[in-house]
Amino acid sequence: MSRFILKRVGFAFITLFAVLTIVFFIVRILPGDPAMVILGDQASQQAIESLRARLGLDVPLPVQYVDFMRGVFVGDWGTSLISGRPVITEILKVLPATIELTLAALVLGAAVGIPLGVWSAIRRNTVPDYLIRLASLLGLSFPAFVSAVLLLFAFAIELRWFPVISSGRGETLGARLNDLALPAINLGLIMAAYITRVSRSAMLEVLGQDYVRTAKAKGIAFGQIIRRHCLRNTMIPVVTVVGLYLGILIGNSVLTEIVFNRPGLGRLIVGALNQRDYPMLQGMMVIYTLMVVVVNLATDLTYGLIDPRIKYS
Amino acid sequence: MSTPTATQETPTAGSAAYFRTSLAALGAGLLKAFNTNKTSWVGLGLFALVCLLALAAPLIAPHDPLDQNILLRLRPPSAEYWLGTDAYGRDILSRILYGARISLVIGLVSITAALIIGTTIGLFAGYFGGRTDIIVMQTMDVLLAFPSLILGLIVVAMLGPSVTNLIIAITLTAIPPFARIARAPTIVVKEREYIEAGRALGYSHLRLMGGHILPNILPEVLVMGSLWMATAIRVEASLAFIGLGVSPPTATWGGMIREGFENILDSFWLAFFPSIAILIVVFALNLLGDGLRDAIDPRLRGEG
Repeated sequence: MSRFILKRVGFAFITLFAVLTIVFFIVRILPGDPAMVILGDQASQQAIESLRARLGLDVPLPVQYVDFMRGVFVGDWGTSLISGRPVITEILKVLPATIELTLAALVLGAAVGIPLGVWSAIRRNTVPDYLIRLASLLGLSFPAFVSAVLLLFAFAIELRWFPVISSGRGETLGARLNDLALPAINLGLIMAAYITRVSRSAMLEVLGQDYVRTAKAKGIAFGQIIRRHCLRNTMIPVVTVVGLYLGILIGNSVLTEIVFNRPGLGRLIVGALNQRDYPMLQGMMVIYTLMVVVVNLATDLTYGLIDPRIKYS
Repeated sequence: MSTPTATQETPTAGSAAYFRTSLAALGAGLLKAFNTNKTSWVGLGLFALVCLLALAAPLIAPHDPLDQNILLRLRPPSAEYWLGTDAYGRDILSRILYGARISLVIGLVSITAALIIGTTIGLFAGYFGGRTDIIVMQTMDVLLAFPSLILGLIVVAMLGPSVTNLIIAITLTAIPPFARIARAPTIVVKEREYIEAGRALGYSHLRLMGGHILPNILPEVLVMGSLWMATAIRVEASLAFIGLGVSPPTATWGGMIREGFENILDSFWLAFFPSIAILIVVFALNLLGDGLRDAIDPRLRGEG
């Protein structure tokens, strides 16, 4: 077990290095000098030179690379050009709000998606199955901002059940949940659509296995077969695929945060884009990379916990 | 003993004839897939209708999509303006029709490019294997895990928003899945006897990959193409909504929703109708791809 964990952690570090290298080069390879992009075509040569020095772009590339990597690991991610505060401080300030939203959405998505998918698989090729499949396909066709706008219109403007703007800084738990409700429902329903489909196909796969047939032949009640034999094996692919959907979850959380005007990484990145806050953008890419690598690692480890067979390979 | 004669004939028959047969086989396979799952016909029909409307936009649009009329701003749907007018008094129906062209062009071109580049990468990695394969696919996996919207956002922000740059950004984010989907069957197919036979006959690697492996993996790749075109259109609309779409006053669906969102409290139709337009196209493409995938690989029935 500890060897398995060690191997995975080591692998995660290699991946982290690789992606950070890609991030470093993406930001530098793209045409256009960032200093020139920030200051515009009209800027004087002197202004550009001084900004380049401030951004650390005047030193040779290998030196920049080492500085960048060292910075990432010691927590020195540069200084925001707009606020003048350290990038990492700004990111850590809004990170909890984004994590709160994505976790709530994931829990909601699993709570809705797994039962629906399992039920759909058990009732394969019946009317409920068709309806669930159609609904989940429709759900994942929704761009997150479209569903967000529709939800906002229906529940916040017409019905007035929830606040139009969620501050994400509610004082009491009730106020906080009230703020979180609509954005989490928006993101959660989209995740539910994906999770329903994965759970359904995983369950179908399990239902076709020999041990399920054996259990049936032994005369075990169907409900017990599902609970005792099928669910746990269904969870393995579901956990992996949910890890793979992190990208979709993050992209959709950006759009959700914008529509509901909720503080978080989404609003931070859009602000940085509009202001051409180049160190901030680089910092955002670093934090997203960290999130992707950490979640992939967590997925791998959970996978090993759920399925004891994995440990020995 | 029909196999030896067949392999002996192939070189003399010329690659054009061979190409025609494999193309015909591919067409027949796709037709069968369509008939196995009728929902893919619904998806294809809907998508074809949208393409037709987009092509015919200059002929059927009731108004000029850029024509502003400040006296007629924010009008609700009426006989003259079927879907109402926006904050500048422009006809929303005409803007949706013209906006379809942008969405479809960006979706089609970027996914075609990603399909070609990604499939080539996957073919080469799978065919040659070894260390190159490991490194290339590892990179692809990591890029796949990275949020495509964020990647697109950064690239467009750096390059500037234009149709070409949006296509570049979306192509970049869509290459990894094609590499992945092309690689897996290549590894299986390259071990088959007929590939070995071809190698024994002295066929070049390129000929084996292009002429003999590619036709086998093409159906799966095309299905992915349809599903990823849905994603491409969604990403383009999302970027436009964030403010990184083709610059105004050009009509784009995401841009229309962005503008409409400012008036959501009193004039909901501004954001509502383009939302429905995006939903129809993305849903049609998902229906099409999902149905075809079910038919091509029954094992994957309904997988996300």
